[in-house]
Amino acid sequence: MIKTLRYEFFLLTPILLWLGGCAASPGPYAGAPVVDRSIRRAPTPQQPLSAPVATPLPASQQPQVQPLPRPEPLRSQEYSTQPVTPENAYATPPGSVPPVATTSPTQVPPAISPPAPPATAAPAAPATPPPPAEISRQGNQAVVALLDSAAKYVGAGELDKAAASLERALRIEPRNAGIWHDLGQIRLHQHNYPEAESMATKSNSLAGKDNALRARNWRLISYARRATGNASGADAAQAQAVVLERR
Amino acid sequence: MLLGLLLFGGIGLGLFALGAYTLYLDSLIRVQFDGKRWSLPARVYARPLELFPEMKFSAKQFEHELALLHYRVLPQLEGAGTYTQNGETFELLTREFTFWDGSEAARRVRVAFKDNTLVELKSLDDQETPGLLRLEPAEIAGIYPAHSEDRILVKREEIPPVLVDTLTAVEDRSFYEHFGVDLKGISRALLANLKAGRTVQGGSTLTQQLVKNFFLSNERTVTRKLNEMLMAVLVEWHYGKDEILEAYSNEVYLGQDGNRAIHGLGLASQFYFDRPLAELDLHHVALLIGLIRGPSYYDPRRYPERAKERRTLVLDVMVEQGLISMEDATIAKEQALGVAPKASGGITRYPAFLDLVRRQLREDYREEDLTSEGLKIFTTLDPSVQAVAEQAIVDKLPGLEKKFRIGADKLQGATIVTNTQNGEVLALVGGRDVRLAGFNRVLDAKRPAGSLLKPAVYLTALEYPERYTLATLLDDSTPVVYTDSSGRWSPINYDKRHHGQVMLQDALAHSYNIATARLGLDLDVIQVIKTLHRLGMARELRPYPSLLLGAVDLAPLEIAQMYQTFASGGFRMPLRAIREVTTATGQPLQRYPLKVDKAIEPGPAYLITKAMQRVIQAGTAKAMSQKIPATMGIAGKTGTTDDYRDSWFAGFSGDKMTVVWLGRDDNNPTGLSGANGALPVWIEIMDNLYLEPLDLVPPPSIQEVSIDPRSGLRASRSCGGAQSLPFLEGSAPRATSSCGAELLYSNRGDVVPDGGVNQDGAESEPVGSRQPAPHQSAPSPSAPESDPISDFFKRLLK
Repeated sequence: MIKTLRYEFFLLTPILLWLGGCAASPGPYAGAPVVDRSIRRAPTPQQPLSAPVATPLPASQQPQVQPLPRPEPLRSQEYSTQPVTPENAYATPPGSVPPVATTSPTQVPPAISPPAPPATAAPAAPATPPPPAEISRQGNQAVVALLDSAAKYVGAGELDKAAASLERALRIEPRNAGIWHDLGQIRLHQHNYPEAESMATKSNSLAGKDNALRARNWRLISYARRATGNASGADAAQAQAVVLERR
Repeated sequence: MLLGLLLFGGIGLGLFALGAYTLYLDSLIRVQFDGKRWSLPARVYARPLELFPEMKFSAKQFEHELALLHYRVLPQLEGAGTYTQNGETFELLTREFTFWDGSEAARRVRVAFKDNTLVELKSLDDQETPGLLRLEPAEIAGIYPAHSEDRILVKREEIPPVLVDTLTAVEDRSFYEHFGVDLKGISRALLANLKAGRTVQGGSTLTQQLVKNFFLSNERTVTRKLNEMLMAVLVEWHYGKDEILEAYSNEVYLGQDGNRAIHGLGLASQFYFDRPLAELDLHHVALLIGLIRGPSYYDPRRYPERAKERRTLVLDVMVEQGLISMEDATIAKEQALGVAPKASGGITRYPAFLDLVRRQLREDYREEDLTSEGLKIFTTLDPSVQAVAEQAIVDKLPGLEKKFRIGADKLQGATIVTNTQNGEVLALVGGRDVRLAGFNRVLDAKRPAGSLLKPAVYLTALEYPERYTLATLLDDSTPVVYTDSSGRWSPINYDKRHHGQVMLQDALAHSYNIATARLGLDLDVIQVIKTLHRLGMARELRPYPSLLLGAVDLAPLEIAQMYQTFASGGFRMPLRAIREVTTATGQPLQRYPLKVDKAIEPGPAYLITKAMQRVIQAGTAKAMSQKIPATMGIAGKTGTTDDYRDSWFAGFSGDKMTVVWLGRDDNNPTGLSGANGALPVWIEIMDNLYLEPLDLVPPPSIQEVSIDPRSGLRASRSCGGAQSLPFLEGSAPRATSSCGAELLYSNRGDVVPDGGVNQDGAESEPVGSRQPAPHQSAPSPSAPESDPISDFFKRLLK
């Protein structure tokens, strides 16, 4: 044993010294070719979407500035010469200016001031988590499982995961108006008001005779509109809700 | 004395330089190991199959999905990734997988099908039966960097013990004892090589091999060898045996697949045996370890004899080292190599779909992130739907070529299938050569849209209910003439005929050009363009009247985006191919959520969809009812362009929307119209998919009224051929038609008996003189100033 060690020791030392000498001089042996196949820079993938906290809209919250919305007609027979088109529904093609409604009766400037605080009487106040879908769920355990999961996530403040569960549920039952309504509530919590309104509208298109659900959808729409400064639209939606609740 | 000093100084300097160099190497090593920066391609997955009771799915489809996941069918279950099948009943052991929103544990379940429905889902392990079972998603592609290393990362605990033992037994017997360099091993090898007169043994440890692969080239110089030894010692100094083993297992080079270098045991296991590392049998393990010495030389696909010999040698070593018994070794030696046929490897099965995925990713990620960070990309692709779409294109085109005498292989096609309720792209076929990553016609073939844009014109009209309804009569006879600085435009109908006064819904159903052009010009092309943008068309459009008849070059994807808005009931939702992205270890990075934007009010949305249903019920796509039942309520539109160069069909059921384009790449005419070209292909696709009917629920603002089609007025009892049409409340015609009984009407809407003026002596309004809206725009065609029919009645009065 010892013999071998000594042998290596005497052999290695000069070699190491020689090596050291080589390394010291940038000569023909300037380091052995060291190919570094490690990754050179740190990646910067998209940051994860931060899950917004389910709290009521603070009074200081600034809404997004949007093209001026046209108030939605209350009943379809009340048309003037205005076409029956939805507000804010213009996709902006490249290079063009977003169209501004030229005939809107009230020229409200884009809301720079804080919007009206949420009506405290509104039952759909975002402080409470959305209830699971009220539409009867017999026969589909899959959807029930996902809705339970969504409710849990909302309770934990993980809105993105709740939305993901709801979207999975929608893939199974796309015509379930309750799920669309719940998604609308999530969007509201995420301060995405145009989408919240769209989800609620979609829910209404599937709600049939469920007046209670339709009323809840209109309340959601009303809240979303108020949050973006569309007071008259919000009032109109609220009136719709009241009518439905009375039935 | 001086000499002594110089020597001392020299040694000191040498030691100092050595120290510095060592520190440099040390930091290099630390960066590589601590950062664990493996060059990993992104992995792209299809949508995971989610099973639940009552879902519409067939046993055959399930078999196909299991095959995509490399599940093996056996007489009995033998570990994850296996299943048994008895008719339409399956028992399977699923594999664990980490999704964006959490992990799905491995499960043992029974799944049974009957009549194309899943009738049973039952847990066979001690866990509750899940209401929804999500299988792992099939990997459909990898996104590779330029130097194309590929690997599947494995953790130390995921490497089966027998593999570790075999590895050390064959490659580095004293792995656990040495300090990076195995001096005994070196001298042993030196002696053996000297004896044999050539290199028969290597004295490198696993650590040295690892260092060589990470940092050094393959040069066989002393310098390089010494560097290697020094670095190996440093590595062992910093890191434990397990970490080194893990790194080695992920780095070792084990083969070449064209452009793609196979690194690491995890990928090699898939590459050679089509199974994950944990599912390998003894004889696989022996072959895999044997390959380390020479992946090309012992390539089991090219040199099976050598591979078998090498495997035998490894098995002998295993017996010798007491790892396995003699009997096990004998059995293993008798096994076939067990090598799976080479999969298409780094090339994806779905190049056209992957193209869309990459384009969408590029908006958020740099190419380097995509090709080296091992991101996991979860897409919306439905392999079952994709298979049907591909089959339809491949099967139908040759027949059409023969029938219409287009040269063989000249006709091209493209199709895209989406989910109407969330905008997910289920299938994408870019050309008839489905496996080829060539010209992607869905994304890049910009062709005139032809009649496919007409629904946007009619929708615009229906949004002015006090002026236009489904029953409004449009003039399809008087020529439309539009002149401006560039010339004169006067469209004609496809059948070269005139059809007189037609109801708005019929003008769309039969795709009459003259009526459409007149209508569009009345509305103003700018308004139609606004509608198109609302429908999701992002392209800037010039307000030429010819746009009304589709003289705009658009890609099938853009058409699909537009029809998606119709199919969803009037909600614009961006078509997306990606659901989520996570890191290599499953940390969520980004989600692409469902985005929904109301684009059309419910009333007009209902009306335009009803009109598009009429295209199939009574219009240009009537042929569909031979294959697809009318109860499906399909809505859609045919499209044919000038000289029959492009053949289009876009249509949707309750749950799926499909656009089909046929044409020639050289843009020569094919002779195919939308109805006899794209439509049959569309039918072939949709007929082979499970479809939900399009159940339109009229919004509260809609009322049904019985209408006489010839006059566009309310039908009285004497009217034959009356149709019930939907109207937005209050927009239905007030007057009633007598349907041939020549009655005149007061302008109060009373029906008056034959002959003469009514009691108050008021002038009566002649029948059929409903003029188009007075709204005039820039040079509009002449509205009929003298209506021949009203003249007739005027004369009758006198």
